[in-house]
Amino acid sequence: MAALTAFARAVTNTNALIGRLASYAVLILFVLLLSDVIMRYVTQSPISWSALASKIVFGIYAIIGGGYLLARRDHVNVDLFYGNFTPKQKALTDIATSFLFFLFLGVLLTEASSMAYDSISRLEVSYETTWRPAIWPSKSMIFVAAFLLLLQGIVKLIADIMILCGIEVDETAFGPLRDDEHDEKETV
Amino acid sequence: MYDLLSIEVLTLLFFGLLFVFIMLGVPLAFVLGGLSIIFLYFEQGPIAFYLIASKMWDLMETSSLIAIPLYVFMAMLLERSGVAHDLYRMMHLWWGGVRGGLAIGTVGICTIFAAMSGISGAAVVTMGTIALPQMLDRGYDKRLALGAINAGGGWGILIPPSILMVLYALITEVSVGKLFAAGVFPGLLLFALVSIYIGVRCWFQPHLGPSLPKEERADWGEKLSALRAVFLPIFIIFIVLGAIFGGFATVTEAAAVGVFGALVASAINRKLTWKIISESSLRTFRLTTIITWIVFAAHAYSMAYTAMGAEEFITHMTAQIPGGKWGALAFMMFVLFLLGMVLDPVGIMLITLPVFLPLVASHGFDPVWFGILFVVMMEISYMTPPFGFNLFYLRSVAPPDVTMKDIYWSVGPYTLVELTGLFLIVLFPAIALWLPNNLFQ
Repeated sequence: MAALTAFARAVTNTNALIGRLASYAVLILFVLLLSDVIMRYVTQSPISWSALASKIVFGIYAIIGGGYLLARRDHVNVDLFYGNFTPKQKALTDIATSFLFFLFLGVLLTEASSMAYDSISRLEVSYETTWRPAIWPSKSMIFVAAFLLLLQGIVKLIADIMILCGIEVDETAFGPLRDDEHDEKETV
Repeated sequence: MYDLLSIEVLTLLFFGLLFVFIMLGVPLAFVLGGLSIIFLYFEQGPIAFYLIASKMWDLMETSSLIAIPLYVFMAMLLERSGVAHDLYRMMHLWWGGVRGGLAIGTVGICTIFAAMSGISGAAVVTMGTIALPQMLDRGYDKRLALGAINAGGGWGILIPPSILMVLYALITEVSVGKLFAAGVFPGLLLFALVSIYIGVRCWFQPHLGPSLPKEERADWGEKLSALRAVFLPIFIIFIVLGAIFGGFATVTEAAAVGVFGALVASAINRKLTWKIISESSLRTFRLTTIITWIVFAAHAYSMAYTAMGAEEFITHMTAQIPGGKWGALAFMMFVLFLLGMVLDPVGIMLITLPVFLPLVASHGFDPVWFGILFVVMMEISYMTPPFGFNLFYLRSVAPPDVTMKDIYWSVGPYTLVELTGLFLIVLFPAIALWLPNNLFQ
């Protein structure tokens, strides 16, 4: 059990760290886009690479946090009924429906790995502008993001099985067990 | 297996299973993603799976989506910039003497806030924190006050900028700028209607929203000096919407300009600390990631939907709805209203639009106008129980003596007022379309 908890803690902490670091990319996006506008009107010479650079930064920013969200149980769900379940009922429901998650992530990971393999093997670059940045790193990030999310999903499944067996679960390692707190949730 | 099942059964399964799993509390992104794998497998076989990853890459490359984190960031910064606090003080001084004035002033601030923010939550939280305790202290009726914040707090997605419109434009391929422009007058209309409702009710029932006693009212000197509070918001609205409507910047670039405005406003109010920037970044990252994962999964889901050939079947089915095009429109609005009670707007939009858009096209509705109706319905969905984000936000900031029951009951009349607004936009499409048609020739 100690090994499982150590594994869970490693995954959860990794995702939390990645989330924290990736979150600052919004500042990069801000600087890139603002300087483009300013340069266009002030010096009459737009920065040719900023639009493309912001796309690359955004692409990674948009996907990398999937595991981090799951570690915080932040993915949007409806808890009209779920919210009233006991912890064991929740665990049982989550295990029974986890095939959706594993199907989705399994396929995504497989397809992302062949896409990444293909992209890396020809060191793919973007031909959108005269600046030809490498895009194989960001394309490979789909694989990394899917992998991080899948790991966190495995951790969640282990936690659910432990709850069902009546074993105490360390929330600092496996992520919070209750997700009926709306106060912290974000929405559009 | 695909051959054995008729398209009717398959379509029923497709949406039925979606509903069942959502109700079981499975995160929306995983329901959409998982089901699309199952259906793609039976329709086209594993050969279609490469689409899952390649669609994800397409979305990562979509520059209009970059607007989402920036507008969210802007709203998160403004929420804590102290701008709302100054605005409230001004409204208090100017409107306090009128019956129901504090509530009208509150929805007025919501309108201004909505023009600076692309999301709804920010206004509900700030007004719930600042205006609600003040109104309750002055003897305002709980439900009147709660409902005002609940209704006004939803306008962030209708009055430009709007994240929901960015997503709507992405799916329907209409111009974001046009949609933004189309939201201006409907937003002002809702503000007018809600203000009239509050004003009229409090005029006849003064105990619901008493005017401030004479000695508490401000003199002209105080009133005029308090007007300074509107400078910063007007500056921000001007640079963001001016840049978009004037054609100086794209919607995404204007978002960066807006972040700049929010930073300036925070700095002037001495609220600009690294802690606030860092926390706002993290909250922005979470909300953006929530949205993008749903968008990725929903794209896969709509691919599976298209591959199934259900579109023709649904179009055929809806042709049976009585009342022609208006019957179809009423039906779509009704579906949105029902979904709004249980699902969040991003999810509703991504699930229903692939089904609705062919209908919208076949009946000759303007997709920009339909987009506005859609967004108004989503606002109503924010405030209708049992699942409305505004309700939970309000609960989390309201004083302890406000119960969830108060919050639920408060939305009734305001929902009717907003539905009236919706009806007016249906009757007079020019309310939405006049501005975009004149701005963008």
